[in-house]
Amino acid sequence: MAEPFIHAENLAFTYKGSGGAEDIPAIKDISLDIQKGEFVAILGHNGSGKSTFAKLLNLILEPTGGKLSVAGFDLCDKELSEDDLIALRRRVGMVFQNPDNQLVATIVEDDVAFGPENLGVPMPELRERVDNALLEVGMSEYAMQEPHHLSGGQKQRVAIAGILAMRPECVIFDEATAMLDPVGRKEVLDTIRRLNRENGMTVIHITHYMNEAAFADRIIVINDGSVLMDGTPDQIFARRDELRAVGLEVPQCAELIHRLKEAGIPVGEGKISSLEGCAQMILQSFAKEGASHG
Amino acid sequence: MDKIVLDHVSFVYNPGTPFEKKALDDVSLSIEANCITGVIGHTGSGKSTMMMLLNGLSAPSSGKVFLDGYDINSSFKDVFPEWLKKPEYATMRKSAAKKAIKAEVAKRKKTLCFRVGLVMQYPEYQLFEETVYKDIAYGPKNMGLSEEEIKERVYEAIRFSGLDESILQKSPFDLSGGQKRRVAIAGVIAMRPEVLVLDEPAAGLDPRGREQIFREICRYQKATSSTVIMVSHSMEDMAEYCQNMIVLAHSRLIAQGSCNEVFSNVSLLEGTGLDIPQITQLTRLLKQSGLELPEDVYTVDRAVELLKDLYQSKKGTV
Amino acid sequence: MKSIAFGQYYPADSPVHKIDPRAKVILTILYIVCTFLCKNVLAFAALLLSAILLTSLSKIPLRMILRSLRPLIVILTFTSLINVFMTKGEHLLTPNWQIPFWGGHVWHIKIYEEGLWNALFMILRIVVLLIGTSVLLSYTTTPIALTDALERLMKPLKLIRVPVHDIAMMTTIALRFIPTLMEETQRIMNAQKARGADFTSGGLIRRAKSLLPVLIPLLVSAFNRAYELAAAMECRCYHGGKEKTKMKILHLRFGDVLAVLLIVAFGVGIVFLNRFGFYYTMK
Repeated sequence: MAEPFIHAENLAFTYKGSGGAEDIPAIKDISLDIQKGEFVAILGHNGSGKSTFAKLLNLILEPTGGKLSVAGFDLCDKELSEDDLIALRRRVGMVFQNPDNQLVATIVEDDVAFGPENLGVPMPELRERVDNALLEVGMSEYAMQEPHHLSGGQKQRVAIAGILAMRPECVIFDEATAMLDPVGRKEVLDTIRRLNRENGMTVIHITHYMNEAAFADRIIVINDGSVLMDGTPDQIFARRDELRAVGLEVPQCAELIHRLKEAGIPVGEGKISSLEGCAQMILQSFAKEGASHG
Repeated sequence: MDKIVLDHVSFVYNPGTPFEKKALDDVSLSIEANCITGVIGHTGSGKSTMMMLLNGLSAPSSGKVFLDGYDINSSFKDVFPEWLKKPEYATMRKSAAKKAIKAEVAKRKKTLCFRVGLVMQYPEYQLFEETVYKDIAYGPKNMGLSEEEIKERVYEAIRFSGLDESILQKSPFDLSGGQKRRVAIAGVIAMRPEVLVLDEPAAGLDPRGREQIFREICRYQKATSSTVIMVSHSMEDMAEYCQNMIVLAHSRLIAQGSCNEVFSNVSLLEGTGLDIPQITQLTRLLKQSGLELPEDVYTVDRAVELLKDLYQSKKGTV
Repeated sequence: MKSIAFGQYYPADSPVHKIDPRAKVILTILYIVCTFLCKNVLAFAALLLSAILLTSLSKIPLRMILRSLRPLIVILTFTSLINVFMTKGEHLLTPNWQIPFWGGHVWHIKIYEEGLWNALFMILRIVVLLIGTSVLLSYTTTPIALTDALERLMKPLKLIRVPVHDIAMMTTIALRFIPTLMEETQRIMNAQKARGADFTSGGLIRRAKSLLPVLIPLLVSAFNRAYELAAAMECRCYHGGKEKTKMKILHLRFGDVLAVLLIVAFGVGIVFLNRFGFYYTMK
């Protein structure tokens, strides 16, 4: 098997307290591998360390313990050159929570060009990259608009285009949907899914919405700076009580399945992470009942 | 009884400029006293604009807003002939009555924002004082209350917010996101408004934070018997915590009534840019597959109830 | 609200809009020089004509330009009064006007013909100056094009270690965040008004104090934004101006050069007109 794209071993990070304040260990012990092309959702309540973990992945924060390698770069190497750092950030892009605070230019297409301009991409190619990136997030018709005239979801898609124009292999979404309304959230989520499916982009989606995590190949639940669970959405949603104990909730459908089980209705195992899967499970249990008595 | 009534209200931003935009279009609705009413709508549906009309932060371009039957935007001229017939003014000399009525209208205008407390979206951004205590006291202080009264209200508000009293001496900027949110809400509760309006009170919080905020709001409503209006784009949350519901889409009123009434008309809600609760989608799917379920299931509790009954009856009859 | 019109840019499809922003900066400077070259009636007439021509070329509604002149009324009145009363010349228009004061003092009002001319020319100069700069720059050039042009024109300053790129980047970011912060200010003000804040009554000190509940949250939020923006820029490989390419490269076209040449010719024409001693020539 090829070397994993991200490899963390006993990773730790502590916020140094300033002015006599106590040090705060945000990441205590995380060990995991993420392969190229995976769509991973990282779940956890506010303050669980999930966002800190994301910021370690492209070295906005430096690990204080353990091992971490991303895209072949050793991020614990204190002597990482500036060129390496730029190369790393080109390959691992990041989209942040507040869409307003990551757009730098006053015109959409100028903003998308910001990353590749910094990388020194020469002109005919630069234009092509910007146009492609806008096309990919479905924002081409807004190329000449000013960002503050756009909706939250649209701004966030521009931010994604700005990352795509750098041609990364992996994009980290650091709670990129938290401040959006349902329409905006759907726009962004659809974009994320398409990037992963059609372009084979490695996607790390950090969120506290279970509904969104259901679309991932794999869910990692982080609590108190450590990995609590790691598995497919179906496996994770089956562990409702443990999730609830760390302040997370399963989607309504999965909740219904759990409640029916508690009420003594023999609902079997199945695709608990999708609406259709849950319907299937309920119908099966009712059919069984009909059959055994009939 | 209706606490608030909107009568053919429209609101236009920047009228007469190229940026003219209609935010509310001929909206008439009523909000019942002593219960929680949810206002749902997608971004740009006009729901946030509506909130600003309720406490007089802005006045409608046309139409009227009534609080307890009084048009909150009425001027002295509007009410003068009517009020002059009222028993309390009828006995006065005309000039004295005029003065008294003028004073009363001015007072009503000034106290309106204390009677209808508005908590804006992401209210933690309004915190500014050195301590939580001082910040919560800001509203009551502006009301001109005495120190003792202010103190009493601050303590009452912090109890409603479910936070520990020890937090009062801390700086609001040292708190976690969820705590800041609750302190900001306490700052409005401390004014003891008759109507509490909250714009997306749980936006951006994690599931536990959301649940806590909504529970505190329900508890506050029961304890004070006040009128609460919550704005949200989450039907799932509103279905769970509200008694009545108002649906806005594209600046117009789509539906109003009890949650049952509104949800029984699910087809109306589609195409408004709102998510139908997952549980409603699931039960409709089950219904299509032959299970005898109603259309209007919108909470998990009710779905469990119905499916349990259905299962029992199936077991019994076969 | 979404519709805050920032800056004064008026989008339209006109020859003035199409001029390269660098050329426009140079044109504006030259045009300002021209207004100061004017000395007599003929020259000022030509200047006024040029301003009218420029405005009609730019397709900017006259109403908008007149509105932008309104704040100038005070300054215009003041300068013309000074000119009328203070200019000394040869043709006295008020031979024997006196205003008696208390204590036997008398003020002799002396208005010379030259003073009236000076006042008229001064008004024309200021008005044309404003029309020229606003039509050539602020109404027809987007702020971002303007920063870009300034960065390029200032490039030679790099030799004397002026951080031209950083200044341009900062200006761009400022322009980008002004609407955002304006919206935020409005939001915080509304939130505090909902808690009974009163920003309008009381004396100056009290009013300034009443703004604290707005300024503090605004400052906190601006710092948070700056911090997040810095992280986002780092993630997009920002490392100063070195090895940076540009998507939008400005090309000077024939029209741009022609415009500059025209205005130079206009300046020469004005100097020529100045030589005719028509009525009155300014000193």
